[in-house]
Amino acid sequence: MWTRLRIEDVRSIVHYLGLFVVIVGVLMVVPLVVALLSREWNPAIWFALSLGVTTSVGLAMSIVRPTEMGLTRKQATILTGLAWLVVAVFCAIPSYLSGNYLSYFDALFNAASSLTGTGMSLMNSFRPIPTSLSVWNSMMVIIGAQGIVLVAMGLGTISNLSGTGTLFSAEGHSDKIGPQVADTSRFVGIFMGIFILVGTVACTLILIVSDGFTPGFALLHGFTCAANAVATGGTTIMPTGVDYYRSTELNLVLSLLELTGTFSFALYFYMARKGPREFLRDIETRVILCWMAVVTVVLSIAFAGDGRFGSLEIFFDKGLFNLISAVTGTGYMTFTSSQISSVASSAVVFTLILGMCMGGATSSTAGGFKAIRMGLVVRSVVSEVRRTLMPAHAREVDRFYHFGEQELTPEMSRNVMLVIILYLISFAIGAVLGVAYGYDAVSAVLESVSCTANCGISSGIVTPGMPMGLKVCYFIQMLAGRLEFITLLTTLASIGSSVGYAVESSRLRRSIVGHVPVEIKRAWHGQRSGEGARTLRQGHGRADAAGERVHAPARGRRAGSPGAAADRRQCARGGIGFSGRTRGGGDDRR
Amino acid sequence: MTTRDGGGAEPSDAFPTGTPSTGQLARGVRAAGMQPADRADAGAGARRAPRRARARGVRPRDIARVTLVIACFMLLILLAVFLLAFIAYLFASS
Repeated sequence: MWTRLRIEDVRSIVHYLGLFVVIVGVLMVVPLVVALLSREWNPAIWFALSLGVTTSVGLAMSIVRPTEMGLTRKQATILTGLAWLVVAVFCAIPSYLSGNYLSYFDALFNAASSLTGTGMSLMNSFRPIPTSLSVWNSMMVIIGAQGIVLVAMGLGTISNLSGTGTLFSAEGHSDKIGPQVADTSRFVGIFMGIFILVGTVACTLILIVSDGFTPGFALLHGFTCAANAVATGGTTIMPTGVDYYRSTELNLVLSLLELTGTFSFALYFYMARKGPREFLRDIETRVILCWMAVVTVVLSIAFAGDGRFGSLEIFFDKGLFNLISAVTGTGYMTFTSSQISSVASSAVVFTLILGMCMGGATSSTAGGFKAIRMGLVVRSVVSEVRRTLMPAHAREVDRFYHFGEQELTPEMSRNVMLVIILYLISFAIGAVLGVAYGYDAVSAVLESVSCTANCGISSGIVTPGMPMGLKVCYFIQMLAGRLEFITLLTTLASIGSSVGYAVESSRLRRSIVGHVPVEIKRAWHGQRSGEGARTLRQGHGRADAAGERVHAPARGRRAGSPGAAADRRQCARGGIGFSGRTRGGGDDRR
Repeated sequence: MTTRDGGGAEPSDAFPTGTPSTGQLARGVRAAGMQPADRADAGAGARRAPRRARARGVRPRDIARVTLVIACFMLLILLAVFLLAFIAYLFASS
């Protein structure tokens, strides 16, 4: 049975969505101030307009008062799914006003890409973007990396509500590290802030000393690079990406920052409480390290066999930096897109795909299907093999270490498999669509995996001129990958079932059905003449207090009459005689 | 006694002997000056040394120490990756 949204649900969701939109509006003050300070008058106007529109709409939405405070599980899940879409819609306004994008959807794609940490862009300009717009892009990456809902909680907007636990898990976080969810958001924010600060200082110094940047310019570039590395976003101010700087020292610092972003921030907090040993004991750390070792060896073999990237120096510059970028889900590239699609061998591209698909740890800023799922799948397989070899009556409890000893339950294994299968299906759909639009198969797979795993390494398919169908597909893949599918599917299913019910029970539909001749209705139901006459004298369903369709007596009969009682009995036996959906969710029109 | 999942249980099943009652725990929580939202996490720590339990959060000094440890770990991981890549590359190209 599909449960649909009731008016109370809609009121709560709209109210809290409004609060999120207001937060986005308030955050636009930062790039506005930057624009004013750096005398960028046009961007200042864009941000002032965007701020006005966003805050007004947000306030208007938040005026809708929920009937009761707090969120149910359903409301929290749908709110999270919609929050990412709605926030992206408003974040895209300044980018669209800048005129760097061909359409509003391209700007929306860019905003979703920044928020999800993918870092792909449909910008139709090769000029450096204004400072304020660059700061706004970095802010979007940081907000998205931490999580929109988590940012709102950290700011204290919705931290005292019931239902925040569901909001938290619906956004893809699974590790609550403090007594309250708001504590988690604060600690994640603190660690992220420290890493970005240290990284900004290091990058700025490198750009000043070795690349000869002016201090102000170096600070801007250093902040953008460091923020995007920690948040595994992978965007830079320059359209050519990180390859613009051509600095080995900078690449090393960025690799370190990318690694800090790919491990669990919750684990960092846990280490502060329990000691550094916890880092190496955790299953996620071990899986990430093993995965890195495997793809490093595969890439080394691929590079050694590729004559075009033959030297060791190129291997370290083009190979390892891109590999770490892929494994951590950052998407910084020292390859150009054309080099990936035409110069690099299939083995190199395959290794990058392999590196991207797993992503980082839960509660990290990386995407992908997460290291813990990979680890649990391996544990489940090993456990199953061991169980097969055991005597029939023996019972084994499989455990793993993740914030303490935990038991691997069958339900846990099922959930893990389910999410991984959804990721694989998404990879396949994007790849097949790319091939259908005429792109090379390896490039299409790379692009699809990169979007779903929120990595951002591109073979050049994502351009402003790519087909609209692919843009929509990649847009959905980015959001679905960030929210780990279930939240987005729940949101879509709930909205779909509600819209479906509204259409089904609308007066228009009833009036249309009422005018259809009886013979056509008989033919539609596959009945012969004279059979099922009562079916066609059907009454229309009505909604009961719980929102479910109940059976109405056939037209012409009074409720409580013997005929109506016979109808109810027949319904209870599963027979025909009534229109609409049954309580069990099945359609009784046979 | 009714457990949280609605099932019935004897007190001896739910808690070991000598565990203070809910009232005693609540008094401990009140004595610690905690907010109602903190109570769920108070547990035994609140019973024995409530103020210490509350102060067991992460201090700025811990965060600085962990940041340094994380930086060292990441540097080691990066070095290990480089070393592994170097060995694998030499092995594969020979």
